[in-house]
Amino acid sequence: MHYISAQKNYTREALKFYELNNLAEATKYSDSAIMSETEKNLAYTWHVRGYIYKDYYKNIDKQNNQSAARWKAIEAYSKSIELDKENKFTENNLKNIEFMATSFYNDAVRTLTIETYLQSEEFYNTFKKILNNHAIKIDFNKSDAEYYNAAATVMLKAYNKQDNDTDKYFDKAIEFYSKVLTVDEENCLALYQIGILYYNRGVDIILSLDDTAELEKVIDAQEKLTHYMSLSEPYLKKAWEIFKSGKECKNVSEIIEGLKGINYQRQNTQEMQYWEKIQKEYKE
Amino acid sequence: MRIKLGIIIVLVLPLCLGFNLEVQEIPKEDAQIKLRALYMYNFATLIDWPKEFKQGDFLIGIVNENNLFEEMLAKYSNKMIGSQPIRIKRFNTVAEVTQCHIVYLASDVSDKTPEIAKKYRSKSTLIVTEKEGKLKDGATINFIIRNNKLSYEISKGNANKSKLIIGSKLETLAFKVE
Repeated sequence: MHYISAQKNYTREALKFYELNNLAEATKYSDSAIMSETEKNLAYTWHVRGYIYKDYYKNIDKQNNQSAARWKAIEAYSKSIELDKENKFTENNLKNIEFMATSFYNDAVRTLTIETYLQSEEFYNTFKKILNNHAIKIDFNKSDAEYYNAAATVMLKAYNKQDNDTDKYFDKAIEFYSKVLTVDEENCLALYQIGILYYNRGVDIILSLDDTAELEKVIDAQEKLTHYMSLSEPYLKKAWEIFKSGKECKNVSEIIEGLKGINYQRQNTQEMQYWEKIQKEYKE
Repeated sequence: MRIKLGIIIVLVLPLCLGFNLEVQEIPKEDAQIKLRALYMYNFATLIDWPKEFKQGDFLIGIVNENNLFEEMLAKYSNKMIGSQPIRIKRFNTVAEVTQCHIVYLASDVSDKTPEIAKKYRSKSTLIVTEKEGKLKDGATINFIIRNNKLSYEISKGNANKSKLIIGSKLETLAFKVE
């Protein structure tokens, strides 16, 4: 934090209590400072306020993700930047805003569970919005890919548990992996996961048929199996092309297995044998 | 009085906080074998055998297709066709085949269809094959692949010769009925 001599009373008082670690009093004086005609238009007033509420968020609210203090800190730093014509505090304020934004990212990580994934996505979007609003540059494509791959994994685990709402988790897993592909169209993991999700979905339709299922159900299930194979194939083929081009791509043996499997399920013997040959060559 | 605020170190937390990414696997169970087993069970329930074959066990013989045999043994051994409990038998060669209600010939032994047809037509054996053109060789039902899907075709002539009555549903859902 930066020093200013002979400053007005409310902000000075707030700072005094801040340094004594008495945040309750510090916030009261800071709240008065921003109402004061002589202090409310000073970058320094808001700069100090940012620190007070940042510490309030950390130490009193214990980084609670619903903390109002966190937003007050961000608003304060932001206001300080707005008023800071001489750029005395701006660099420092921006660093603090980045820190506060990252706290939303951390909340996104912590709430990335089946029960709270919607809240998690909100936190993640808030993280990005705060950085964007202050023109703080990070590689959003990279963080989007990381976040949505992780979110999709949570959905995948829920889907694989095969409890209630499996359709919802399947759709969300596809949605999140697709978001990865919008920022990184050659993300091999996302391509593979979508391809295999569709593949497994199709196969599961057959495997979950009752042993005495009537013929109409069997025929209908086959239609769905073929449909899911056609959804799966483009993703696995693209993953394979990425691998062949020399770019990073893990799970190659599973990709080949998937492409072989698609043609097996489609009763396409010739294509299936082609992928069997590729499989042997890859193992060698 | 100057107030020393001290040095505040702003920590930027790392972006990646150890996400645990799970990679899926392809299921080991064979959907195609399950499909064939399901069809075979439906053939058994949707065809009517002459009265004299409606006693004792309902025998299904699988020739040279071990995976299908294992699937049917596991899933259908205790099921019933009418009042007859299903029993699944495995034959490694056509020569080993004994009388059954249904005999399935894998594609690599389908060339022996005429032999089985000659021997068991009078015993009302439903011969099921999986190779193009086998209805002409005496099979009553032949699995075929159409539009990337497993389907079947029926020879009513061969069914009549074996005194088997093909149910209307089985006929309607067939790809082709000759």
